[in-house]
Amino acid sequence: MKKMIIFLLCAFSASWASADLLHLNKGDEINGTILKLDAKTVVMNVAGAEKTFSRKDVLKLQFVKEYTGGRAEPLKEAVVAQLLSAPPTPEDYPNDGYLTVLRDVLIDIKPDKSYTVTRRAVRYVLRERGKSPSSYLSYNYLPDIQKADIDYAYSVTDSSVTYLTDISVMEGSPYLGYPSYDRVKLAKFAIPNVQIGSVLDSQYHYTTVYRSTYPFFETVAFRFFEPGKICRLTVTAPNGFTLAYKEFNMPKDRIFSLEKRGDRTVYSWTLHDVPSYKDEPNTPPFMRYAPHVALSLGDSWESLRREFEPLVRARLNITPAISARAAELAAGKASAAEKAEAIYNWVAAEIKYQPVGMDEYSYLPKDSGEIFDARTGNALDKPFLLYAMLTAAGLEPEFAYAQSKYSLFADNLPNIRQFDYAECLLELDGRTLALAPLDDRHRYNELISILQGAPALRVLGGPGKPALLTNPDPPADDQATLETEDYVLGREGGLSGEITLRVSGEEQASMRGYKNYKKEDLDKAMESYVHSLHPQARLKDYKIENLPDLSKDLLFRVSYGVKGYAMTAGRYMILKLPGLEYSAGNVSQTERELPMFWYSRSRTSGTVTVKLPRGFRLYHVPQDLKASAAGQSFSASYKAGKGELVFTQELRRDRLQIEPADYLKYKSFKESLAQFTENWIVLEK
Amino acid sequence: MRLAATLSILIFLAPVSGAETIKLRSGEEIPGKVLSIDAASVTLENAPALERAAVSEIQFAAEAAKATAKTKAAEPSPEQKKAAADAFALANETAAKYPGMNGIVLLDHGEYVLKPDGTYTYRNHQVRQILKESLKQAWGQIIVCAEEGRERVKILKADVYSPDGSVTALNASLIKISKPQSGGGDFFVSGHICTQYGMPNVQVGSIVDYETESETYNPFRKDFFFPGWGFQDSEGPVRVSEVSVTVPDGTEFHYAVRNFQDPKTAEPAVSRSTDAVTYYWKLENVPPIVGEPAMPSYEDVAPFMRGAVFKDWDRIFDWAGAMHKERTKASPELEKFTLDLIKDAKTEEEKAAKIYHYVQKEIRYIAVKVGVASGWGGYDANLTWKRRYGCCIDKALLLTAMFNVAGIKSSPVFINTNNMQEIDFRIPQVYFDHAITLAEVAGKKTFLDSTGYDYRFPQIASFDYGVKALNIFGKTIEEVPVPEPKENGSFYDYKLEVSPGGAVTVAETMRYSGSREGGLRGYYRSIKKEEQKRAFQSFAKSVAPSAQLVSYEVNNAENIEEPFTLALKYSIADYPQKAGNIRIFKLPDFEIAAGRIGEISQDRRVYPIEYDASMGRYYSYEITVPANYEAVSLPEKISLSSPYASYSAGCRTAKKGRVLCEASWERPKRIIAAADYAAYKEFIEKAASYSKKQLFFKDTAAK
Repeated sequence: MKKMIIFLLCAFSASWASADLLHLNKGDEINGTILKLDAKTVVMNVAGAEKTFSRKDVLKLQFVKEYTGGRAEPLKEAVVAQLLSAPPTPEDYPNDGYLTVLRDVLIDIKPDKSYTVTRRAVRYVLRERGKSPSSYLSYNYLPDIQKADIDYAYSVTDSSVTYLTDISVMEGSPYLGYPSYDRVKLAKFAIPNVQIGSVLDSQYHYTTVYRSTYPFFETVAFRFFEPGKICRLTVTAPNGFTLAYKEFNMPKDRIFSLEKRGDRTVYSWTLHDVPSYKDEPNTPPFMRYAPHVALSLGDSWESLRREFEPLVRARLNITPAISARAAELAAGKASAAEKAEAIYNWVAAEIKYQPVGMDEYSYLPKDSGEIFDARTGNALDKPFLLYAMLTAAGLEPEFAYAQSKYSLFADNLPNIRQFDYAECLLELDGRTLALAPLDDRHRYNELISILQGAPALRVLGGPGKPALLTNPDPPADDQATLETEDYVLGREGGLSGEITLRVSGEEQASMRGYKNYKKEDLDKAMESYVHSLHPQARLKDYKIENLPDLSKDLLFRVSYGVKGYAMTAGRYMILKLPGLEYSAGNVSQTERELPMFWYSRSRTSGTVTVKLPRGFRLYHVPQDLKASAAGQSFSASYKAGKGELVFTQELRRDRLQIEPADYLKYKSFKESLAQFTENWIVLEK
Repeated sequence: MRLAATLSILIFLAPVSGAETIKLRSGEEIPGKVLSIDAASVTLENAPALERAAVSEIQFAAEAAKATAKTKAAEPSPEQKKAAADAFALANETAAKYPGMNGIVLLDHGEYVLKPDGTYTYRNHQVRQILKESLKQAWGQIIVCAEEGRERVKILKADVYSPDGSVTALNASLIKISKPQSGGGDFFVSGHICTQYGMPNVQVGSIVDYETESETYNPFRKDFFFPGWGFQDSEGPVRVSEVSVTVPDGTEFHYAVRNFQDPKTAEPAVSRSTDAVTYYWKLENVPPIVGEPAMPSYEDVAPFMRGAVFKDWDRIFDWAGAMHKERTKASPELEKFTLDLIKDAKTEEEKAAKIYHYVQKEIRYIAVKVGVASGWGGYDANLTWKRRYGCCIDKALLLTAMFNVAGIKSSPVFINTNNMQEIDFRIPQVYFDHAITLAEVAGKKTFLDSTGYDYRFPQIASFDYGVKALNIFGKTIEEVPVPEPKENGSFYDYKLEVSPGGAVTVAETMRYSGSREGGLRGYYRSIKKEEQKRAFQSFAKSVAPSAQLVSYEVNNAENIEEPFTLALKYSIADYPQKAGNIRIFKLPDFEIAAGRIGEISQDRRVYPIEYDASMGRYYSYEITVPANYEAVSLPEKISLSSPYASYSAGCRTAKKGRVLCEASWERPKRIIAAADYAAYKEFIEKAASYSKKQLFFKDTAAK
């Protein structure tokens, strides 16, 4: 009897889901099954009744496919049946929206080096917030070298099976607006009829034909923000293929096996009962901490360089226009550094950055003449044009592919697909400069933080030098904010004064973003800035020197006043210094699982001078503070002068990552800073 | 040379007019004529039959694109060179008047032409100078999209004038046609195709001069035509913005304009030809929009025209009403389910609440839109119920279908959420962004928004408040009320105990009403239990760096039927700040920090402040202080009021060892007029300054 009910429910679901769609010119969309079409009519079964439509009224017909994958009885699938018979309870997973009962990734490498990746996920919905993310899946592919498809997808809710249909599958270009880089396609789908307690089972695959410029390289992660029961990666390769791999952050209890099955070698990694991650502040990028395996076919860095060097060089087309522009920019510049800076600044500003990754477009740059003419380039093509122009100007740059801090580098996997950026390297005045003109905000000698200290593969230039290199990694002093503030405090508690800021590195790049504001918008932004210091602050004046001029450092000045800045209580006047506030917000947890991470080092130092009102004396100033922990340090002191109070401080971040073991030390450090700025300065009349 | 160039011209995908396009699952598209379809195959004229399973779609009105020559850019003509020179002269003159701009719109020209058969064309001609790098992407590209089978688009011209005098003409080989993909898992909107062209050689100082044409050759309604035009830009001044609307002679044309400074320019020049009438508006030297925090939408502040070929909303009501009536008929199965769902409900309100909560929670928000019927008409309620997903209109239709079963009168209503432009109801149109429901529950008009997952009956999301609504079944225009502050409020009750040494324990309860409750429930529902704990730890830390969370409660985050409340306890080892024997004591969360009032950060405003909702914040503090604490100074009682809001607060010693403080901040209005900004700013600043006040005690035990 039970079986009968299941069959009927399944049949009912299917009749809805498999309905074709007939669109009429007048806008109607009719669900049903298209029975036939002839010269004049379209006949459709609509809710059990035959309906005839005139062909001339029809806009389009959609034949809606169900993604069954040929599964006749999905409820008998072992993993599904087991899950339905003994479902997990929300209490077992108090944090989580859904459980991935099985995450199965199968990679099959063929003798011709083409390969297929098949991903299956069987999920169980534990809570309402798990419904949407558990049933939504997506993947990217390059249609000219990859074929991708959904094998099957369905939900089981109250023993009723509902298959995914074309209705909630969509494929399109994610990079509309970047036509010259519009290559990758994004396919996405949402499984219907999902409730708390639903089981979802889906599988899709993509097959990649072999291209030396898009070789086999996959990274497979094993832990996410929802838990997993079984997470498995299986790789099969022909015997004799050297599959190179590297495990990152894999736990000790991972199960690994390697065996030969006929003419295939099978590698397998499995993790059981993988808990979910929880959000923590300042975590590193996901692929820096997630357990994952990176896979490639064996080679060497030197041979990769030898393979790519002629391919890249073939695209180096120093056209007369490039030469002329390079010469024009270098004209009158005495030193190589000046020439390099002028050319870097031009590429940074004039070539529109197109945010399409190499893995979504190509690992080979476009012809440099084409980049120059189109005035557009991505993270590969902008640096490549810079290389062409520096070369045209008579400099001797090197061209390299670099891996950003978004992931970890596998030095035993020589593969171009490890890289996501490119750069030029120049030896200037005895030091190596890495130049990556991605935007028009970073100065030529201020490498974007994600590439600082990054591993890179030298492809052009640098004969005799090793293929791999490590980018310069600037110290905190090169990422500095130097602040000077001078104020006068009035007898009624009013405060007026000026802030002067000198910034370098990422701070400078960030502040240079103001160049994109039109004059009136910048005025408003400055009003908002002083308002953020105090609700009653009034902007008097401001100046940002060198804002559009990438060849000069910024100098920021703002002056403002605040009526009633200091509070009075009887004969006392109390105040804190404007903007002096450190938060302990990112150390509120009592412990951490993941490291804390920053992309760059930094130094913030400043001096604040407050001229005190006549008739008042300092009654209380906070005690000086000197603290350090886990590669961070802070010192601050108040000094009473003749009628004035001088405050100096310096905060340094010399280490980019704080391990969980050092967290409590860092927490204590941050709390002491925050506590320090809670203190009041008290004047007495 | 000339012959070679001619021969190199390629014709790319050019469906033949009148033929069909057969789209295969492999991604291939075949132009052809479909002879027949049966259960197994699709037979084409002069071609082998296709397996039906291999075909995904047949587009009948396949006049998608006319043959387009794939050519290299031509050499610029003398006319182009002259146009470039003229444009630079005008740009230089305009730049002198408006220094520091991101760009200049030299010409912003639109032309609508409605034909007697109900089809129409729209031409757009732009001449713009780019003055900042940041505009090169946005102004240096053309993207025009069309609905397949209904519209076609053409790029007629795309010249780039460089500051050195050179002209880069349209290079059709760089035109790319793509299907767009929307991000995220909620939107599946298909049926469109976009033509893109990134204009080459665009630099700072370049002038782009391009013209596009969109032709709606197969409109879904031949009596719908809704032209619209905005005359202002936020990146820079507009030298000339003009639009013309041509309709066949004898066709009514109605229009409404907004935000025109000069009434003379608000009136169109009307000209007649033998068979058509043209309405023409032109504005010159329009200054740029300068953004302000919490300002209204573009259409609410810029000069704007909307038009239609009929005057009242009846045609929209009839069209949408017919679709919605059909799609809100519950099947016997849905009827049975609904009756079962409400079987224990005693009152109409209880029935409505049961259904409202069901549709919110059990129908996942996913927008699957394949055309105008699903977009505007929504899917049949029974189908949405089976699929367990739908967008706003789908959920609204299901809600109405289920209300019908329960005997509750209701209708889907269309709105623009209050973060979008206000709908100008003087002219009919179809550009709404949301659908909700108007029901009559126990004799009371009740707006319900079943799109969310967290709103307890009869709460709705804040973005629905205060907007006008098109009641489809009622054929009326309604207004969603803005709740009173207490009905959209946050209520915080604190109990603090101070030890003689300065350690403090804080116990706080938080309850909410209106959209505040639903919004916060949604947040706490969407994060993990461990993350909830971290949120409370972080909250305690924001009060004092040494605060330690003792306990917390999140009540009814997943139980939509019950009030959502929060509670927490934390301890602070050394809370009052010491200055000699003075102890300075801050009330937790009492300060109106600058970051919370960014909307008054400007000295002056041109535009109103638009909040999403009214607001009520109510604080009470009961502080038990030790015997060695002697009150020196407590924040005095204050009562501030303005036409838009009021604030009152104060502290007092209730009895020895006990201090009571409270604050109430109410804003019944959602919109603050620009003319009243100065007074409103002053009011908020006074309240914010007051809120910085501390409690001062003398520690008589201090040495």
